[in-house]
Amino acid sequence: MLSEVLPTALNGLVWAMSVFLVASGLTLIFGILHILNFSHGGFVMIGAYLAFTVTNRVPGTASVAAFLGIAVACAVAVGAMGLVVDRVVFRRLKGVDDSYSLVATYALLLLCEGAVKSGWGGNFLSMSPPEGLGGALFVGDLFVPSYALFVIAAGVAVYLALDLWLHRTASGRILKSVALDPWMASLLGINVTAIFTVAVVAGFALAGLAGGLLAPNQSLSPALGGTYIIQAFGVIIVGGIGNVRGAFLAAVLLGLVDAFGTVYVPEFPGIFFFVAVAVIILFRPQGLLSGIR
Amino acid sequence: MLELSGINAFYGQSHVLHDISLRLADGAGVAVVGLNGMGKSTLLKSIMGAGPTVRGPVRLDGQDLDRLAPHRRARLGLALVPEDRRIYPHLTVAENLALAGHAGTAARPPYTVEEVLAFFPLLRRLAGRKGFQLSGGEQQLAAVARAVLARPRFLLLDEPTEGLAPLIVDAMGTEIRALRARDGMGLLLAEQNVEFARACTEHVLVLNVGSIAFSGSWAAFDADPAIRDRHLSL
Repeated sequence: MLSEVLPTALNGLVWAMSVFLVASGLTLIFGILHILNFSHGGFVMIGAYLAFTVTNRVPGTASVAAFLGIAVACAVAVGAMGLVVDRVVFRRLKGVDDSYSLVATYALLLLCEGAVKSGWGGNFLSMSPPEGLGGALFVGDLFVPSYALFVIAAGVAVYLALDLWLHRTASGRILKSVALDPWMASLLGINVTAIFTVAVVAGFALAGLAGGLLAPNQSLSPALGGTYIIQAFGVIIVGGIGNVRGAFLAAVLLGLVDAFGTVYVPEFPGIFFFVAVAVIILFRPQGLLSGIR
Repeated sequence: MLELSGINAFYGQSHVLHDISLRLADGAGVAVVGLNGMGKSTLLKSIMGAGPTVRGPVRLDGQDLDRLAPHRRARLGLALVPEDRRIYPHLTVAENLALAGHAGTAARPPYTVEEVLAFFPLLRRLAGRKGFQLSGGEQQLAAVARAVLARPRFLLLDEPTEGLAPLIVDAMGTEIRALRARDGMGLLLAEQNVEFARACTEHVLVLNVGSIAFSGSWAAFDADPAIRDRHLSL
């Protein structure tokens, strides 16, 4: 019995943390700017392609430390793209109808796909995990790929770092105050535009980091941008849109529901995620937690 | 010197303020009175650049503020306490006060939270309480205290006594007079409570449908009861 439950739970958690890594930046940006960034998955994809290229081009990058370093570099690179996107696109979306941000960020997603096609081509590419994470561990008699454990640890670490930032630091308090009432914040002398920029850059950096960390064991193709984004949207809606803590909880919940559903009702693989999202929204349309947390 | 020279203010298509001119010398106190919807809040927000579209110059010491965002105006020494207070519910009173430190500068350093709590004794026991746990009156006191923390040169108060118990109104009046005496802080006070306004300011300006219907000292205001009857009675 346990031998059945544990691997399924593990699968669910790997899925959960992968999706949370993608969803965290998405929900952060929405929480603070109230812009739903459809291009988020596109920038995760760019992060993954950058990691792929650096890993293959630069010799001596097979270690876990190098892998982490590259993921951080991807975060910095994509964060810098966030700075440009904020200047050129997001600032113009303030105070206009939501449909404009939908169109603008969807256009950005198409741009990301186009950039990947012209930079790397349309073929499937793949990279392996670094040497230290390519193997597997035995926990009791359970066979666990090290990379799976790594993804779970990375998701938890990113969650803890974000939660700490938003709740325990002065800059997190300012971010939250701007999210709640930017008008009052500006009257108190806070440069709201600059705070929005910080949020966008942080959100994009999280996309780049997710791309770098999740690039292994993944088919890289220009369609990757759309792969995670549906699940990420499900997670942030269930979690309470804009709420990092909620997204984390929702990711774990939906990951486990989907994993167990698929094991016990194999006739309908992958349907449990959507059923769970629909049911939860039916009873808690505002999500598990609401407001930025 | 805060100076408005014939400004007009708009919300979308609606023309709210008409050719308002106003000079507020350093340390002066002016009350803006008038019934609801006459443009008192719009006037304060126009000075702060926080909402309405404004045409015409708003100047501080001769510097044109037109292109400055509200946070820049705050750093120049203007502080607006909006009618709806807007205390952050997720922060404690002390944290709410501390936020206003962003409007301080090296030349005009903000007060510390401790100093401000000393000015407002009623707030001291509430310092650790979150915004959502405060009553309306406590929120109003906290909002005024928060604005004061930045050591503003001109405090713009929008209906601070609305809905407050008489005891708190008295306390607030005392604090405001003390602050003005201590700091030479200028005050522009939008009020419907004429007695409170009189106690806090020297001059009065009556707004009627977005235009100035009267401007002068309280003595001149009192000398002509018709003004009060025409513009302040329902």
